[in-house]
Amino acid sequence: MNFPGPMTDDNTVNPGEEIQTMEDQQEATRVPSLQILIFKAAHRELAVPILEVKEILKPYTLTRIPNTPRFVLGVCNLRGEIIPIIDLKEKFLGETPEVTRRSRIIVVEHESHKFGLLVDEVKHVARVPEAEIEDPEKMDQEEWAANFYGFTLIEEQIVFILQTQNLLFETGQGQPA
Amino acid sequence: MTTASSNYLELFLEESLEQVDQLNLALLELEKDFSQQEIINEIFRVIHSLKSAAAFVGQDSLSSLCHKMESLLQEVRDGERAMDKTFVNLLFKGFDIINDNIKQLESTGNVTGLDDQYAEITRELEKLAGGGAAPSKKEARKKGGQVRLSAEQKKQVKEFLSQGEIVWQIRVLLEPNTPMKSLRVDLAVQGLLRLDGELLFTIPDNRSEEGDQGLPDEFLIFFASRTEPRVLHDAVNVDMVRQIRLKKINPDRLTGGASRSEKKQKEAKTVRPKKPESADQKNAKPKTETAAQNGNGNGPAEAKNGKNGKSPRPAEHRPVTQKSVRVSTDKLDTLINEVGELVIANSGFQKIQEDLSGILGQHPLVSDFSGRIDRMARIARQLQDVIINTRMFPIGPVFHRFHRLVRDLSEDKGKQVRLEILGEDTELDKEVVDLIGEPLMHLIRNSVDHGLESEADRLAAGKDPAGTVQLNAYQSGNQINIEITDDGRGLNAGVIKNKIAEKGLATMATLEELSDQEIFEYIFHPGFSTAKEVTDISGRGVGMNVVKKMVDDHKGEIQIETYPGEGTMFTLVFPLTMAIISAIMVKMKHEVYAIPLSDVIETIRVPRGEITTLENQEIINLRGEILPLIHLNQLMNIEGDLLVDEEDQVSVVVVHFNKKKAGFIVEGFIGKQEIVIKNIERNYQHVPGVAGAAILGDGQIVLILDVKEFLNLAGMGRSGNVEERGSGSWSLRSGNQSQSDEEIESLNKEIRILIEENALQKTSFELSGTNQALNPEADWQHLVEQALSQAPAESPPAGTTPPIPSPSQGSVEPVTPEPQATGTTTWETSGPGSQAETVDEAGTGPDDGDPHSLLSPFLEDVDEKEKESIMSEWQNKPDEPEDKAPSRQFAADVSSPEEKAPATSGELLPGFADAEMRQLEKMTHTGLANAGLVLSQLLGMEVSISAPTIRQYQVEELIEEFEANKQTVEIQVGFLGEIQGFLVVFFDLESAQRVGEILLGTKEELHQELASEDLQSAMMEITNIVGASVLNSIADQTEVDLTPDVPHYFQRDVRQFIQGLGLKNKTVLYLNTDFVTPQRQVTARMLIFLDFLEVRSLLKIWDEHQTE
Repeated sequence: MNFPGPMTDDNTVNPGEEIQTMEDQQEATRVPSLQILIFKAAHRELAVPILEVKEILKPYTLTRIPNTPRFVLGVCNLRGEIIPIIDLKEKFLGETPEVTRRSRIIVVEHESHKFGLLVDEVKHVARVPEAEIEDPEKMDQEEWAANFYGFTLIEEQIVFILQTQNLLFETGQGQPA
Repeated sequence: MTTASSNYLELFLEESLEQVDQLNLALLELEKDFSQQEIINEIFRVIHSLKSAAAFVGQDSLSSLCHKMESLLQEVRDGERAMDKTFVNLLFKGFDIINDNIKQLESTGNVTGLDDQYAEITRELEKLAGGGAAPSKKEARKKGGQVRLSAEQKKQVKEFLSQGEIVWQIRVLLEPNTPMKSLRVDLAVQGLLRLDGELLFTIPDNRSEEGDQGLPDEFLIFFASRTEPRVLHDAVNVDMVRQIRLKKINPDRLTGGASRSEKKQKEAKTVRPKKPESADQKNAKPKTETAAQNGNGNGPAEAKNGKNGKSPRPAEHRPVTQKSVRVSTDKLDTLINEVGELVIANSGFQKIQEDLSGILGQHPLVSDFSGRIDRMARIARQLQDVIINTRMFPIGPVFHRFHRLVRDLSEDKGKQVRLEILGEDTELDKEVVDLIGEPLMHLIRNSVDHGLESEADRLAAGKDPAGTVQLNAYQSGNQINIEITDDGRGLNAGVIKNKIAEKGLATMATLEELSDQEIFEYIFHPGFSTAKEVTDISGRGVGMNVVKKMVDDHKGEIQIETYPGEGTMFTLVFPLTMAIISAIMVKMKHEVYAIPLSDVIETIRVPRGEITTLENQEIINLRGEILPLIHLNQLMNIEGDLLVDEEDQVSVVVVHFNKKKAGFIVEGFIGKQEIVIKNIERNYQHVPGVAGAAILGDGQIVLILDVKEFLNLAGMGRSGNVEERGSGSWSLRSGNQSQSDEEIESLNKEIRILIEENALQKTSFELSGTNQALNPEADWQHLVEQALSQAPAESPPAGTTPPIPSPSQGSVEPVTPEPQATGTTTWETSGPGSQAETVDEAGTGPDDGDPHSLLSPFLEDVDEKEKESIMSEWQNKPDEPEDKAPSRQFAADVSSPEEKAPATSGELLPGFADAEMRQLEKMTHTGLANAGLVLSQLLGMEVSISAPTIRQYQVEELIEEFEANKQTVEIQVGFLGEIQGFLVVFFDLESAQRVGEILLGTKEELHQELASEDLQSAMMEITNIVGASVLNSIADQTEVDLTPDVPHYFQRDVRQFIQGLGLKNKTVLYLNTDFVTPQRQVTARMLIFLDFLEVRSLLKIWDEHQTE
């Protein structure tokens, strides 16, 4: 699978650059809240906790691994480390991945496992008060709950916050409500 | 156990096991001849340090056992007790208990159930000691601060005294219950060491790693120094010191006292002074040699203790402490990984170099580049070797551990057994060394138990009644072989068959069909080992299958060779290292996979017609053998049929697995390659059939096949139809990849149309399966190509590159008109010898922060947006699927000259900002360095060419640079090619004369007349060399066509030259460098006039000169 872009550190996109809409810093300190990186993937606004985000890359050369779930696009060489890349569109919708110039790989690390999420577009970082995060159980499909930490409303958009540890492995497919 | 001591537990475990090995080994040696004092001393020493260490980590029973053994040994050392078999056996027994203790501690973290054994051994030791309590330790110190020194220490003191030194005995009394006594002593000693003098030794030894509890409150430091006592006093007066007494050692007393004190010591032993046994004293170090030598106690029982385990130990032999650091294997592995990365990164350069030479051909820059790349690669590989070597340990200590086993077995079975050890210096991966012990033990036991006949049988067979078991280790190629050979009766296939049948492992009928080799392999079967063996000796082994498992786990194999009546040889074969493997790279469609070479028997190409199907399994007849074929592409879920080449042949990798063979059908072989194994599981999970991944030189990841697992997946013999087995994880990609190649192709077509419509914004995306692999190479071509034709075509946004005034804007302000500022670094070329170094330095020049390096626009200078568009563009090109396979061809296409054309002269050097002049300097640097070398060789003297400085001058300023009214030899070389300009080399007349003397052996008077034609041509030759070098280096670095024209010779006043330039009030850019020989016999100066604003004028003048 060939993504555009050479394998250099230069691929690293500084989240600060990408995300100019950092906001509400002061408010954040008052209530328990979660900082999340919002991105577009699988035709949704999704997010991951910012603390789990290691870096954001432009898509680049990828090696397919046979006999793995379809949403595991393959592995990438991240400065000598081999990290699996997951396509969220494939995982959630079963749709064929697609890479555009806005596509990015968000490298997340969960319990020292690193892996990349192929997303359509990285949006911005936001701080969400814990109280405003809805329980994933409220979502329609139960099997989906495992993949989500919760959802919230940001700028009148529903943002689904991913539970990263479950993403790498097979869970039910379907569409969040 | 205290918290502090638990930190040392790990160290203790590691060291103490070595020490027990060392003890066993030494004791075995001693058994041969009880009078070997040296060995008794060694045992004593080791027991002593074991005792101290054990006490430190709270292993009191162990420590006290050591103490008792030590006491008895002391008596032997003192000649009060004879060493005998009883004592040796008791010691062996003691060592076993210690060993059990340590092993238990290691595996469970605490020790239980050894009390009885300890009690028993203690009883026996006490009985041996003549009943009653073990004798208390001799007092290290006598009253009144007198101390008995060991002979060695005395000798040391005497030596110093004989050199006229003053030796001080410094008594340091610490406050009672001082914590961290050893630290205080260290501090005191450190204080002394800062003074002018030399430390002899301390009593107790400050270097010992003993815990505080073993240390007394009083220390003696022997220090040779002429420093005043007061200063010494101050130096040792550290915190918690109660009292310090300094005493000058009297040479006479020492000499006289030596024998006396020795005698006393003996007496003391016999008399056994009844001192109350305080804890301190009990553990206090004896003042004998032990203290001084204790530092040696940690050395592992080095392999050299007698080749073959029977040659006598040389008297002077003593295990020496290796200068070593214990490093965690994790750190080592990280290091190995990083260096692996380095090697990989480097091979990336090699690829670039190949690509560059594809574009540039036989360019000097290319050869320069490749020379350097080679050197880098060499260094990286050496580094890798060294680091991989740090994982390597000699097998000797492991081998020598078995002396004891063989001894015990020999007594047990009533067989005489000799253990021969060969190749003990052979080094193995630490992992293997750590694990090989147990398998070897089983093999040795097997050899002694079953291999060697009874003495009677041996005699009857006309053999030496003593059987031999030989251990040997050696390296062959990339493998380490470990052989266990006995000269026994050999394996009997018939007996084994019966046993197999008896155990119900196979039916006799099946067995009849097997070869002897295959029968023999049953001895490694888990069920084969008899129960008796299991309980025997090791008590936890499960027999030969342990051997098999361990070997399998480490990618090794076992070979059995047996000759009835003559013996059996087991050979364990391991790969040299676990981190790097050789692999065959194979291609399947557009993917590349690595198959470990250790699994591969051969690679063959088979005409398709020879493939037949047997019971739904494709097979071929390979030299009379039926070889099942497996379509690797199907297992890999790569769609497509049998992959056939133009000659209708399929490529097959023949692999072996459990002595069976199979053929993997692949699309093609790429070659053999050394790869570093990377773990996929680290960030993901185990993938069936995939052993790991490797990163190739271009950063591409290639999966390494796990052949064994793959054959299992394939059912080894059934068709490789994956879906049939219905495993969840297997149904994934293939099912979804229902798109045929055509469908994918049409998708790609759609994508291409999109790209064409919106070329700079949309990027292509290829569907999984049609993939990667061969593209990066082509990508590189594009990258280079892009770099060459770069910025001008792209019209970079403002602010990305330095502002470039176009030539039409007229003259540029002179930037740094500092005619007299030298600031040049001298370029030393000291003849051919230093060539490599010089060239190297020159080479680093152009790289440093060179803003115009080929790739920089992509990596640094170009902003986000542009980069994206560039990337997408270069992505587009190799997108033609039909272009992919012959990527080399493709590479050649893009590097055609037309493509490079945009790099023309006008754009190339459009303006001269400061930075750009520095760059020009760098450009010429390499050339000048090379020229220096050539000249040095040619002239037979060192010629230094200074690093060039480039400045913009007003022409009249040039005149100030030269001495006016001076005749010079002036040689002009015009440039041919895209850049217009010329260079001039000026020699003063004396220098020119000397060149004549040196090169031609003639002395010409140039002040009066023109140089002879010979000299003229010699001078022109020199200039030509320099000019060509410089131009080459500029050409190399700018990709412009630039060669020197024929040189022209002038002999005239410099002024004439400058005036001739006709550049009054104009700016000229000139490169100034000097070249000087050591004695200043020849000095010359070079100016380079590069095409700039005055191209026309320069040209005109140049033309005029030519017509002159």
